[in-house]
Amino acid sequence: MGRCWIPPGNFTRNGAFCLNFTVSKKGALLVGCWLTGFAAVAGFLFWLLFGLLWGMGVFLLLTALSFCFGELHRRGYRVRITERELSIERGFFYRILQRIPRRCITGVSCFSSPLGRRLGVCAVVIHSTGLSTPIIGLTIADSERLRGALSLEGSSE
Amino acid sequence: MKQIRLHPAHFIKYIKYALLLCVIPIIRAVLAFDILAAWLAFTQDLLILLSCGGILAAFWQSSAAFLEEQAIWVRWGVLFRRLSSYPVKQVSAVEIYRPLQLRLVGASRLTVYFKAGSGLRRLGLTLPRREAAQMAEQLIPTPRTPEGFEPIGTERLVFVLLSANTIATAFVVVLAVRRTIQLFGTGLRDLAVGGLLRLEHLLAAFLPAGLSLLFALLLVFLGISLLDSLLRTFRFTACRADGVLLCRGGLINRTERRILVNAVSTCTVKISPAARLLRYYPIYLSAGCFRGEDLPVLVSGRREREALRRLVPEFFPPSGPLCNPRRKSLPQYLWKPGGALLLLLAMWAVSMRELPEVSLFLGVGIALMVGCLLCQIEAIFTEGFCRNGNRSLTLSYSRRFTRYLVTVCTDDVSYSITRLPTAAAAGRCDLRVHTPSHHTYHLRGVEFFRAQKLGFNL
Repeated sequence: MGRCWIPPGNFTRNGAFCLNFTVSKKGALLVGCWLTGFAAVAGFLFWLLFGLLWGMGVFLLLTALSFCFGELHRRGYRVRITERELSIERGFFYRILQRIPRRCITGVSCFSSPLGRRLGVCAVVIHSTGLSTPIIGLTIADSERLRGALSLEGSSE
Repeated sequence: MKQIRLHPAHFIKYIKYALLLCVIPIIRAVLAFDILAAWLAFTQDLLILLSCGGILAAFWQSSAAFLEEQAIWVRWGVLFRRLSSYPVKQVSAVEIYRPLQLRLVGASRLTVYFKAGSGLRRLGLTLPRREAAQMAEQLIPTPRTPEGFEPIGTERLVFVLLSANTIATAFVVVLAVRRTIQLFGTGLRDLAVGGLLRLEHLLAAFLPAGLSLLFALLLVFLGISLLDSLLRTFRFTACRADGVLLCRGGLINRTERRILVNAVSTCTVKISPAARLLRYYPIYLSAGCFRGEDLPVLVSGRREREALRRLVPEFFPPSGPLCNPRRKSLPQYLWKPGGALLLLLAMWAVSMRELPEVSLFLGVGIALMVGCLLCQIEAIFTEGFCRNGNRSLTLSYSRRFTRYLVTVCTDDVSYSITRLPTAAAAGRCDLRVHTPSHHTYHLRGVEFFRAQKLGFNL
């Protein structure tokens, strides 16, 4: 079993290692912008089927919902790294808590789009045994810290 | 180990469409007993067949597989060459599969499964028979003891019955028949439908009209799945020693599996309606990325505890209560079968007046939904998890008509806990356990404080 590298800083009161991340406001904006793309497709379809007013109405409604969803996505997101596990809590109405042991994490991938790089945010995918989970909307600096904190060091037994 | 070439059958996948293009007209002509047309088709496609042979030869010449420096090395490719290596210590299970088409050409399909954490889940190679056996022996040696599980007599019959998968076989048969009819014309369709109609006429003497066709179809699929299971489990043996679990069997398609015991991640007991009737329960193992859900390792009844203890000591029955039924949500378990049952009852009530001939079909649906509802009522009392004394985790969940009892004996699991607002207010959640074999076990209505306290170290 490899030893987990513990970066300096970020300790709780009783001395246990703990790193916390959350989605930034720009991350919420990125999510809203991505969903606006789908809203545009839906509005276009409604325009073709029912007319311009319907299309505009659907587009504006879905765009408003997209940015609301982005904000709710941001408010409900917590990423926490301790010595032993990574826990991800997300969702506003439908809450999801994922707990992954650190030694089961096999890889971390970061994805960034041109819009994301402009806003300074990206999407991170954590690969582990049996599960791959995305974290959308972290700042690029936070994603680097996350990736560094999840790195494994040392030889196997 | 010296370098061995992959069998030419490994590369058939690259030329299979060209082969089909050439071979199907020849087969059609032969089936129509027109030898001249078959010869003409053969001479017309000779150039394509020779090109395919040349491509196969080029791939075969440039391929190699060998064991060196504690790794499996595989080389293939002609223009774009690839050399890959996979560490031997990451191997969790090895399977040698010899279907009829490979046995005819002296080949075996060697599949190596890896433990969790490595990028590749499995590696499949088609090798000559002896070389495949030799490589498998070097990766995971055969255990020496003859003792184990070998079903005979009634146990053999039960093993065949419980290994059969009627639904999966039905899908495969329907797809295969449709594809065959598309390739070889409608004569085969008339043959298949004619046989089915004769069976339906036979059953019409005992059953009402309409139900006889349904039961005829059911009997056909059941017969095919039982025949497939009988052939797959012919002379089935399982034994365990020296840290290896060995299972082998099969008449036409032979299968041999070697599983490293220290890589076993879950042990699943499947309690299906057939298993409840027979009072024998099939047990499946998974190890790393090896799922093993198509063939059980053994079937265990009351008198076979010794075989269970010897072969699968990883299985551990729950040592405490699995759940608190009082805190569960009844609609969560009952809404699907209950809703379907109410709908079918309403349709049946209408059909009794308007379309009496459909009532019998609806009656069959109602009976199935009642069975499903009873299984879900049982799940309210049994679905949950329990941490055992030997630090393994036992899960119990139900899907449709079957209950599953799973012992998780690996450290490499992760958890997902999901809660709707109403469930969060009531202090319960849905727990998903993710295992290295990419199985996700979904438990409904467990207590949130227990799920939150679940640890990782076994």
